[in-house]
Amino acid sequence: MTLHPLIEPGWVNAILPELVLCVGGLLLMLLGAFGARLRGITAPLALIVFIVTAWSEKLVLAGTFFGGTYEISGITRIFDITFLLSAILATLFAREYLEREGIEGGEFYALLMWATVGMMMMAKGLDLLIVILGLELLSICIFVLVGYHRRIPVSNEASLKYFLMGAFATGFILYGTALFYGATRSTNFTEMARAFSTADPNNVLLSIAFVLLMSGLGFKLAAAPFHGWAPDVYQGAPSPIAGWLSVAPKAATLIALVRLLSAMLPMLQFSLWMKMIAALSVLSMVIGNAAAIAQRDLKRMLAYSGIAHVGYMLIALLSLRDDSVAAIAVYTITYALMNIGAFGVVSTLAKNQNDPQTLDDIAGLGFRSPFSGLALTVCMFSLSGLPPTAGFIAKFYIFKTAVDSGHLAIAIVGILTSIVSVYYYLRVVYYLYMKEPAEGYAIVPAGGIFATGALAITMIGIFVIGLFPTPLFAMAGAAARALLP
Amino acid sequence: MIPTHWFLILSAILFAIGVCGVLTRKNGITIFMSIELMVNAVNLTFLAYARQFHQIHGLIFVFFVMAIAAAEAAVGLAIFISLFHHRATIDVDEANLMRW
Repeated sequence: MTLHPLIEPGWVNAILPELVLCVGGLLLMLLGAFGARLRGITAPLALIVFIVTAWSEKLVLAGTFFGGTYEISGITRIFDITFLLSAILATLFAREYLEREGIEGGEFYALLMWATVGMMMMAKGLDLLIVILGLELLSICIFVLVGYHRRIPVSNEASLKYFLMGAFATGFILYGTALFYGATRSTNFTEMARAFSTADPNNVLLSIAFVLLMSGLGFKLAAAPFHGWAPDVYQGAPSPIAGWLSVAPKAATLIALVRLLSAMLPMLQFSLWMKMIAALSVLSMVIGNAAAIAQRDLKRMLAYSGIAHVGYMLIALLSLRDDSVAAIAVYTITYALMNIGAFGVVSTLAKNQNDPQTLDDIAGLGFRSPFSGLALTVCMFSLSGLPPTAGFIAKFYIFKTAVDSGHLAIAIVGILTSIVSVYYYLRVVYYLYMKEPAEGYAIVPAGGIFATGALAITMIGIFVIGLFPTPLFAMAGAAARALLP
Repeated sequence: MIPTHWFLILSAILFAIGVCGVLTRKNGITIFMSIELMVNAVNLTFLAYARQFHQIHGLIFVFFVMAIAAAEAAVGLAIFISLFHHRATIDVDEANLMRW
């Protein structure tokens, strides 16, 4: 089927996962509107849609489509799988959470699907227009998902904060894009790369554009000093969404950034731009880890630890080589497993969601509910980067790329701050097993079969990647070699 | 014909006014209006460059930016209404349930 001479044959196959997700989301919305009694099956249906999408990735042909604006390759497939994995885990945790809170509806899963489409567009876009459209599709879905618990005030407030901050950041990204358009006469990455190869490194316009774009994307990544919204939003958002929000959008922004920076490669060698990214990375690691120590609220602690993890991932951006892109890909998959798992355990703690969920809530939890306690322990070990978990392998490769490319000082900052982080991660384990709960305050996790399954997936994933990382790295490395020129 | 840099200066001023509005105002709707002003400054920049380069690419970008802004407004106003139900104000300084 050809719609237009510019649209290549085979375009249906190119965007098959996106099509499946869009249609699936529409069906779930219709089900929510007309089949009120079928509410119970929306989550299993959503899971089926996500799994069908993951399967449809196999039918996708690699290549460039839609007039050189949409590229499908090995690395986009890996990131698609990461987005789908995050969405599946969020769905599994959300199923029982939403039922318990009495807010179940098809639109929740539909928004999750459309947000995933937005992330896929960001990963595959070869044009800033496509990347920004994907980013906005993602952001608008997140605004609603964060405020999904609309009867409780903190959820509303989190939604308001994310909306105002997100829209403000979008303004910066758009203005940066407009100035890049003025300087390079195009928004297509391939044509921009051509313009950058002959550009003057001292061009003020290009520098302003880069600063604007990076600060906007820094907001979306929750990298310090643009991280102010993250703790409040994660605390107020429904817990399964907070876990998903701390992982998937960051992965999508990072892969878009890899593409953008690899188009700018000639400029990066001569200008101060790389130093800016290094500063973002160091600030994120230091501020995130330092602030996390002071937190007693679990979700806020995980938010600050997420800021620190963005700092680690930004280290890999400093050297745009195939092994660093592979390290980012593996890190995002690992981070998806361990962080959504940790937020998932928090989401099973049945309690008034308007109050903070503090360390006292999990005191002695390891004995009241051995499985949840074990899962949270594994996630914490992995987040702090202790072997033999996946978190260790992922961090090791990130720091290795930094050392290999001569960024020794930043690697040392990363290693020192991650040693500091062991303190607050293991404090959670201490509360789980060595602290008696306060009188009449023993919360029992309310997880059912879905949450248990999701926790089992995260634990198995963490240990499999931790013990047998070679196949994943080989696959990601091969995919990354095809991405970079 | 008016030179391109006049348009660029105007749009930079508009963008700066928008940023100042976001940072200083307290009413949620006013902040959102300031953000819209920033987005429209971006549109003006795109149009100025597209006119200078005689390209259609920049013009198309403006249409998408307008659609994005409209979608954001729809969701944003719903969030404001939901907040207003809870506390009968959309003053963002009153949104202080969460402190670290």
